[in-house]
Amino acid sequence: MRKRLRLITVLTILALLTAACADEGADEPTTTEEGGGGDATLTFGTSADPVVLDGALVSDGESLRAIDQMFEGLVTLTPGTTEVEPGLAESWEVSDDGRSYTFQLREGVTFHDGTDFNAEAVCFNFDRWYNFKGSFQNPAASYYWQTVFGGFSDGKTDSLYESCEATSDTEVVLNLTKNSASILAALALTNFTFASPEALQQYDADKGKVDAEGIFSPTGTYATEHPTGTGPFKFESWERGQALTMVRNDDYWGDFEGNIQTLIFQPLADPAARLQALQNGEIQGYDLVDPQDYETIQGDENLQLLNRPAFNVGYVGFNQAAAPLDQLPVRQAIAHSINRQEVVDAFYAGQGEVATQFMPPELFGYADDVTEYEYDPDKAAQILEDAGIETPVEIDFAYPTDVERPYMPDPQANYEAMVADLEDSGLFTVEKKSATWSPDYLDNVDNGRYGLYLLGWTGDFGDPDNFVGTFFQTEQPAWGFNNEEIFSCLDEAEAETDEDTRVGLYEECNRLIMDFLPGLPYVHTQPGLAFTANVSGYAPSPVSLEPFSIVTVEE
Amino acid sequence: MSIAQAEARELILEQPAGLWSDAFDRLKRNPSAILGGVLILTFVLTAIFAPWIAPHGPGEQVGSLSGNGIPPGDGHLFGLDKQGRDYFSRVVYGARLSLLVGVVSVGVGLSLGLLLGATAGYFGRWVDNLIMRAMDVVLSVPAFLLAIGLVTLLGRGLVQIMIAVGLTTVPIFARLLRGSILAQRESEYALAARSVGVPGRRLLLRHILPNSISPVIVQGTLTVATAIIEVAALSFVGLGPADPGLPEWGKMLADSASRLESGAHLVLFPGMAIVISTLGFNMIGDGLREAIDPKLRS
Amino acid sequence: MLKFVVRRLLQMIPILAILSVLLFLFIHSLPGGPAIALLGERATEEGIEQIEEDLGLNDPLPVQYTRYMKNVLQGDLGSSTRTRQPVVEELKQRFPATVELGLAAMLFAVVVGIPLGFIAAKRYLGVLDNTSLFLSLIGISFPVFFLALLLKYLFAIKLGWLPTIGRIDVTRGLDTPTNFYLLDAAMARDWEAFKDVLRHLVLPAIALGTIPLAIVTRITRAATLDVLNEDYVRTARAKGLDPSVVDRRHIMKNAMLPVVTIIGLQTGLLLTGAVLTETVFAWPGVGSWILDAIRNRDYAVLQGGILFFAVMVAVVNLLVDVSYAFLNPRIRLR
Repeated sequence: MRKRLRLITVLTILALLTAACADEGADEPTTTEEGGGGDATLTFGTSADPVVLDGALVSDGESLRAIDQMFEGLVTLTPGTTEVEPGLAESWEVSDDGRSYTFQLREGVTFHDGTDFNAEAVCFNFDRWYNFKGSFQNPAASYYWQTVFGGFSDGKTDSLYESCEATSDTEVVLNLTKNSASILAALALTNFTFASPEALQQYDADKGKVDAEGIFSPTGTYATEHPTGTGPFKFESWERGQALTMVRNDDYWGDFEGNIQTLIFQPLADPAARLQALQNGEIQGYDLVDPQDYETIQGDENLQLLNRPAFNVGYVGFNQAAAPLDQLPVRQAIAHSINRQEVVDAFYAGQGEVATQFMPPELFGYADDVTEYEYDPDKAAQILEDAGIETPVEIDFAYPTDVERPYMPDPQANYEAMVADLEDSGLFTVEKKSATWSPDYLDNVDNGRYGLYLLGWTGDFGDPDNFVGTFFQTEQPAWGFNNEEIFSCLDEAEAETDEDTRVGLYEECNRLIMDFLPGLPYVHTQPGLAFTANVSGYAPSPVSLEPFSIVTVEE
Repeated sequence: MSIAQAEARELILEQPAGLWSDAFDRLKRNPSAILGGVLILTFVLTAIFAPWIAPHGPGEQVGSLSGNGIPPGDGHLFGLDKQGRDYFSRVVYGARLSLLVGVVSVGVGLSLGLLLGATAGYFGRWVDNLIMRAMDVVLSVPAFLLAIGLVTLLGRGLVQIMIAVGLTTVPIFARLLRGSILAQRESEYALAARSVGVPGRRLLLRHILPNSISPVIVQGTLTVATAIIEVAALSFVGLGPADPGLPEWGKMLADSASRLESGAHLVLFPGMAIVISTLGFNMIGDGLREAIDPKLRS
Repeated sequence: MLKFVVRRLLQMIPILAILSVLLFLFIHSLPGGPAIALLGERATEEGIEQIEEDLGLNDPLPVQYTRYMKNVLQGDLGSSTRTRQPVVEELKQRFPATVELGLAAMLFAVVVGIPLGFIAAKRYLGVLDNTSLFLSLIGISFPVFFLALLLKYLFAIKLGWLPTIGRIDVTRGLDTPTNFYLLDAAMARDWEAFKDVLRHLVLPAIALGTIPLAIVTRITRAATLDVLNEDYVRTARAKGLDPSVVDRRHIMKNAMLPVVTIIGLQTGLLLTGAVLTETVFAWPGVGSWILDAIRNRDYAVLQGGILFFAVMVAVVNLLVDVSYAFLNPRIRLR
């Protein structure tokens, strides 16, 4: 979010992490007798339409969710985990210098248009990405390529990518410009899945026009009408605002464990509308369940609630660029004045726990012995008095509207409760601010226009760098502080290759951070997904990559 | 948004009756208007005496936080809201806000509309043309969308919202008054006055305006109802007052719009409060119109 | 008459032109910007600058406006920053949804409202008259969104009679060349789908149509009352004409004129209501689209959507004015 993810390093550790995040249902997939059969239809309520169905050009969750059903990459993640497993590549070898990967591809795999998936197709896709020009280099389009591989063939920015060689029909060599142990995990990203070269060309995937407002829009129909991959589902139709329809790929190379014949993603922006549609049987599942509805769902024998592993943090950010938040006692007093337990109990329906630091306990590097700031208004008053700070202290505090986030399902409720705590303590007067989440609120936060603000983070990858590194490794206007000790601690931890040392370093960083108190983390939550009771096999994933091909709908 | 806008044009073609006492007599005999009067009186009294009626302050936390609030009972007539605040007290204090918002925004619209309408009606020719075409431009955007746009532009403070909603009503009043003045100007008494040499400005201020004002009063009453609903609708689409603690009915409803199943009281009480107060204004406005407007008499 | 129509038509042009300028200025004075909307959570300084450069947002406003209008006149409303699709394309998909909903709501208002108003007038001051008057006042006093929420909860969720969301059961896979689903279903002779589309229409149409219903009822009643006392009606009755013939030929026909014009005047009202109704029922029309655009700062959509609404209102207003002039020649003199 704030800073480019330093994926390369981040992913190095990915493989080590798996057990922590693994869901119990994530056993090695087994083929069942009825695998591949059935003709069920499942309609899933999403929060928005995909942008386009071209993995190379998107970075939003709803696009990725859809693309993930239709496309596959060289490697993939075991459902419900962050563990890398073979995808379209059956096996691979790494050269001694770590700069060259040789993949053995699966045989007999075809794209949805009937053309063969082979080494040339792989290289065609890599070359396509590497040769993006103009608007395609806009981070709004090729964000993940730039995050993982850096630059493009025009050489304006260094690229990790060197070349792709199809050494035989089923053997591909991927050459990198430097050593990268993390590239495998990166290749599991939905953004690096393969499209049929023929379809890409036939439907002008790379053609588009820049209109008067300068927005690039594809003129080709590839990404809207003819996305063609190798995955278990293939594209059927897409009516914006209404339904993206996919049907089972009968020629799928792998085991199709579930029984869904027709898979429909229906965009429903309002979470209440999603619940109601589920209750009324119009959809069979939806994401981003409002915690206040957990009870309703659990109390309804026709419905079921699933939870993703807690892989997020909600926090109150403090902007130290301006008084009075630049004074540690003020920050401490605020922390002691907010009853986080009460907020979490009331608004997270039992699926939240109070956070003591800026990353979830499941992650390595989590420190059990950071300084904690229990709810104690008297202590807060004492701290301010000891520091000789005059009360009430004037602060401004902002919250976002028109948004629900896994870590923040009802921002206003959280906010109001916290404001009440702060004001009731008699120590603070609060100037209340709010703005629409995107783009205004985020813009204001990023540019340091708020004092206190509600925010949070959901991890993309299982590495502390993806949490504390994202927040505190460099000076950022949102936080408004420059603390060399913390910056260098995180730099050191990120670069460290020895796992044990690394864990210790991150623990140390977390202790430093919580002493410095750049913000007040208050919750880790397990985001909910709801389904009708007759749906089984769905594997909630910490990073939200969840295949529907293993889902079964009982009639 | 309401009958007010839709019927605005109807009204300009109608001749206002001047006899107020006559009208008041008729009003007294109209049960619907009386009920409307009672509702409004209740509403206004509630607004004025909110601190005495409400057992708690609107922001005072009297119970624990809870995702769906606490249903009515246990000494809390309307239950508690998510923040553990007494909901009855909030609804009562909400009357203040709604009254304020309704009256002020209509005040804004009315004064500006009257000014423009009178100018257009009095000067006629290109002034009239200019003003009325400008009003056409404004009217060509549905009022609520206009309000949304203005709030987006001005910001979400209570004052800005009242101004925004008020501005959307300007064309209605401008058109109404202009039409009315035009009709009055051609009337026999105006001709007579002019023929005996009454100066133009005096004619306008002393004779034409007072005689043109009755449809404006009707319209004003009806527009208060519109304004209350419009502010609630703004809140519903997330453009209500920025301070989340304000007990604005529309905002209270919107905050819990998804709670009909698990916290129905959070939705129903503010919703009904909106309906009842707007009903009051609509009833009395309607009664006034019937009393004043000869066409609806039989 | 023709001269009046032409004059009115010509008047429309400057109105829309001025509106387009105001709209343009309005959108460009909103805080934030499309660059941020495009980049969303990952906006970096360079990213924003690059996009603003790309978008020509650094050009002077008149230049940007001229560029925009030139494209609009060529049928190009730009592209959505969110979906990257041409606004015109999406408008083509969405406006039939709003029009279908609006027409259904109007139909509901007319089919229920006219007979109700008529009967109320015939039973002037009777129980039915007073009841219908009172109910119509309540109808007007109900915020559209509140009514929509209640209807949805009661009839869709509690009773399960009707669907809660959208225009059609998305598993149905109806081919929709016109995007007017009733029409599409009828053309495909898919009566199951037709029924399904109707079922989806019922609740939103009632929610949206309630205020127009109240107004139509009242206007019909008032207009009928006027006509009832006209000489020609009395004459017709005195002649011993069949009462139902009098009702139809003399009363209804003459009372309809103001009603028809009032119906025309409801367009703005309907569009406003559509924004809220569509939001509650996840109806993929222009109203909910504009609202989303405001939230997402989707400039092109916002501009295109509002312009579309304005043109619709202008056209209907024109029709109303023309019919007024037609009915009442005195108007033209003003």
